[in-house]
Amino acid sequence: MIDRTNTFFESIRKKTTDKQYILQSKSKKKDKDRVKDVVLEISLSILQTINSLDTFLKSNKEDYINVVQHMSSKSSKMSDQERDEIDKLSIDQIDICNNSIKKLEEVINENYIKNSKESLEFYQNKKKGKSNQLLTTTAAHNCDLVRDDPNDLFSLPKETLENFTPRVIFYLNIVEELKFNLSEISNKFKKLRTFRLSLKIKENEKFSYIKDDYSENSKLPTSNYLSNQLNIEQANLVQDDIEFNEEERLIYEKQNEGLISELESVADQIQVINRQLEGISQMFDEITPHILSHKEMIENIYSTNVNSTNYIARGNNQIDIATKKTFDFRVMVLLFLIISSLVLLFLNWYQD
Amino acid sequence: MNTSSTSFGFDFSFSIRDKQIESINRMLKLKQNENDTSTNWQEVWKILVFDSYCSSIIAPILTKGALRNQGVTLHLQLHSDRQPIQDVPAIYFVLPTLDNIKRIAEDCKNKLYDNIYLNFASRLSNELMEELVTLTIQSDTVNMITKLYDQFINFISLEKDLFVFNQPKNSYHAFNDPTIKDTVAQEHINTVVDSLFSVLVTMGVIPIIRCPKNSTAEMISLALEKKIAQHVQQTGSGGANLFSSNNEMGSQLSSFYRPVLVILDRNIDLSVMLHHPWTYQALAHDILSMNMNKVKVDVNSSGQTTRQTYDLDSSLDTFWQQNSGVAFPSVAGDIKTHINEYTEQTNQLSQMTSYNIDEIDDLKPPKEIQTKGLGELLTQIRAKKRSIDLHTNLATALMNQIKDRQIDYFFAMEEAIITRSLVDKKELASLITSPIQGESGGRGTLEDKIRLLLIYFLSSKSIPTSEMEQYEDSLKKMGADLSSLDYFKKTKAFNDSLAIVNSGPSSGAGGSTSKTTGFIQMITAYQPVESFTNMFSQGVRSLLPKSKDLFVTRIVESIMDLKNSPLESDFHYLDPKITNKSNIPKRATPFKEAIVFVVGGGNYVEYQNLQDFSKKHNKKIIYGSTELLTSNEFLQQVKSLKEHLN
Repeated sequence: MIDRTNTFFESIRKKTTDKQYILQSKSKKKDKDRVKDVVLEISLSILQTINSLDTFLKSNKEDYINVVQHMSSKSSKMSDQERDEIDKLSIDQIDICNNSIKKLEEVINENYIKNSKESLEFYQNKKKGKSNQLLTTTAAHNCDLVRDDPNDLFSLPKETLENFTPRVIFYLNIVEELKFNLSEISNKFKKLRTFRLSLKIKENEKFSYIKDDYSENSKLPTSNYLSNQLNIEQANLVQDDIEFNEEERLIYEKQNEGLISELESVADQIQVINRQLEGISQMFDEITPHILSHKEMIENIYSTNVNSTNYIARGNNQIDIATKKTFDFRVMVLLFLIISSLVLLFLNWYQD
Repeated sequence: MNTSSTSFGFDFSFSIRDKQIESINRMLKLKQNENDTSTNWQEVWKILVFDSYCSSIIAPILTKGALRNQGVTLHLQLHSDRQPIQDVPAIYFVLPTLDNIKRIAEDCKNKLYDNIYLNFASRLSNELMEELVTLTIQSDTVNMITKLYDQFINFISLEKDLFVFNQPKNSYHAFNDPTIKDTVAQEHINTVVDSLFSVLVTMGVIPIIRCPKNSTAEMISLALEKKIAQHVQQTGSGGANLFSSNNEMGSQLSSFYRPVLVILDRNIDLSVMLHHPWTYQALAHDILSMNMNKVKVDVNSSGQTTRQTYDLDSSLDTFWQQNSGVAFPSVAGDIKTHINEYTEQTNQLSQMTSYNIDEIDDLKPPKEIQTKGLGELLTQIRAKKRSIDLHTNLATALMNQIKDRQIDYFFAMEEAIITRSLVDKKELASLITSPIQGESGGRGTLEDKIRLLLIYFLSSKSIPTSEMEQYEDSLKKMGADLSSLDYFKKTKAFNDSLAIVNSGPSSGAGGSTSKTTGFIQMITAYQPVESFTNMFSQGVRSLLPKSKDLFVTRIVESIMDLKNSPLESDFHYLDPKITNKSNIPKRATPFKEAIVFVVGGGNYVEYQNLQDFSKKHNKKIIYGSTELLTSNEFLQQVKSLKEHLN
């Protein structure tokens, strides 16, 4: 596209000499001076809220879903409490936006829709004298110009469009777009939450398996320390609580040791993989120009092959033609020789 | 589905539709600076005002939802009575015509909207700009116009590789009428050149242009080449080049990926316009008059027949995308598979819930269901049901017409004629001379018979006069208007006489042996061995599968593969980037991409044939025409042309 705004304003400048007019024509009204429509203001604030929620979810997405690896993660560690807070915040924001959209709908209903039909009839009566073609005051006549997406749940039905003036339809479409944006964000949030909760459940299941394993093995104490603990626990009722806690502590310690060793090995492996990836990307950078030049060469070879095939085909045709002509020429020469020998024989006989 | 080749970090999509959607979305964004994150209430919600041509540009590619996502919450016709909505910016998307300029000025005078962003589909001429300036100064509303753009998107994309212009109207008549005034003819040529220029700007490519000599295509090609060359030269010294603005890599990409633009005249192959189609999309166009991807079908439901309008969008309807180019008999099988999948999914849904899909009222979408978590499955099922309903009704309507008119017989006969494997002339005679459908022994409508006869006439080198007279008499008795046949007879006779004049004595290597070959031929005139081998080879050829490529496809193949065959021997080679026209270096590597444009009308048969060729040979071809015509529309134009000549 070409921006011809400057050309347009230059033409205006050439046509007019009044400087004040030129200044006025060039200056833009500041937003503050414009008359602000209440519906548009509210809709913009709702949209800003939805966008801010989207930005918030995107910025915290990685930490939010990093339920398992939060210990080795180099980014900020997020606790479950913080995640729950994010959930609560997001749900509250979504509810606020939902309520705001409903209020906006009520405002439109009260201020515009109730009056809309009357103003539509008034407007149509005013234009009654004109031909039918001009009585296209409602956007319903325009609703067939652009088609509906059958999967779009937020599209206004034709019956709605036929009953309202363009301004009302404009507002209603704004509301539908806000609902669409909000439903997208809330679906995104639900997916993240579901994912996080499913990871949490898996972790808990793992934990319960380890606990079950330990509780089975606890019948045969593997260390002296454990056996001593068990003896002490049997003596004291209070020590039952300690026994349970120590058991739990042991489980946690074992789990921690396993996790730490796993994470250390994983961290090492990740570093190795990072280095290897860097190496691979360097190799790719080196290989790419060679591949480009190979591509050129291959294309040249291909075109040469195509041309040579064509030439060979033509050559074969020419050879066939030549063979045929040679054959014809030989036949002609043979005939000539035979005829001339016969003529000679005849002449010889005649002379005799 | 994008036809894109992504390599080395950039994406070159050879899809006219996607490129046009990108351009329109860019037009609808009012933010001047992409890095500006502040949300100005002025730039969020907008009104779109377009004229009838620009509405036909938007209709096939964008839905209301897509417009709404760009912030356009109301769209209105330019030439309609509109109420003022004063707090909102309005985006105008119109053709640069005097009527439109006057209407825009009137809107400014009536202060209908707050700010106006003017977008012209093609270049606004200086005269019209002056007119707009004058009118806005008179009404003191210059400050209402915030921006003015030339968008260069005045063409209609129907598929990712199909576009039309729909102007000038009745293009075959317009470009073949010998009585037309020079000024009008030049106007038509300029219209087509402007639209082609827009296509190339949108694609961001400067192609090599190939066109046949001594035709309308040549005039258009030369004008287009001149226009592109002028633009490139004017913007060469650091200015904004239209062809590089659409690509991330800039001008490097437009010079690296250079497709070939093949501009052809309709007269190069007329029989394809009369051919009965056999693929799904082409049948919908020919039989049900599909227009701008919309088709009207008579649907029988509970004893009542209603007329339903369906939108056929290959970007939303995967069944249509997969089956539009498929032969019609296979479509029925695919619909059945689709129905089976749908039945499985509905069973799955009913097992999960007690919800009955058939009780859904389409007018009131059940948004509440979505919150139960089954939303996705339900949406899929509803989409599938809609698709099945659409295609079942469409296929049924087509099937009824095919059965009543015996279109399959006409198709088979025309295939045999075009591929020169016609053996059974009795069947041909039966199809032409039998009564029309509805009568006893009726086969096909009158138009079907006329089409078959025209194809037979155009595709055969010589037909016995008695045979032609027999067919013409029987058709005239049925009430047929054979003025189109008279027209083709005249043009064919004219072309034959031109061919005789142009074919002089043979030159070059063949000249010296012409006498000897003539002598040999005289001696060997009767050679039973030779004639026997000829008959044998012909017989074998008739058993071997014939090439199904149409004439246009064969020309495009020859050009793309640089075969230098006799088909393109009389073609120009134009390169807009080269200033020295006497010595244009020709490309040595075959073309991978091509844009084929037919002046005077095209159809889906030709389009599908090109797509089949491109898939087989791993090429990318975009097909375009001044308009897509059904056979009946084409015949109407030919008739009116004949009347003009009389």
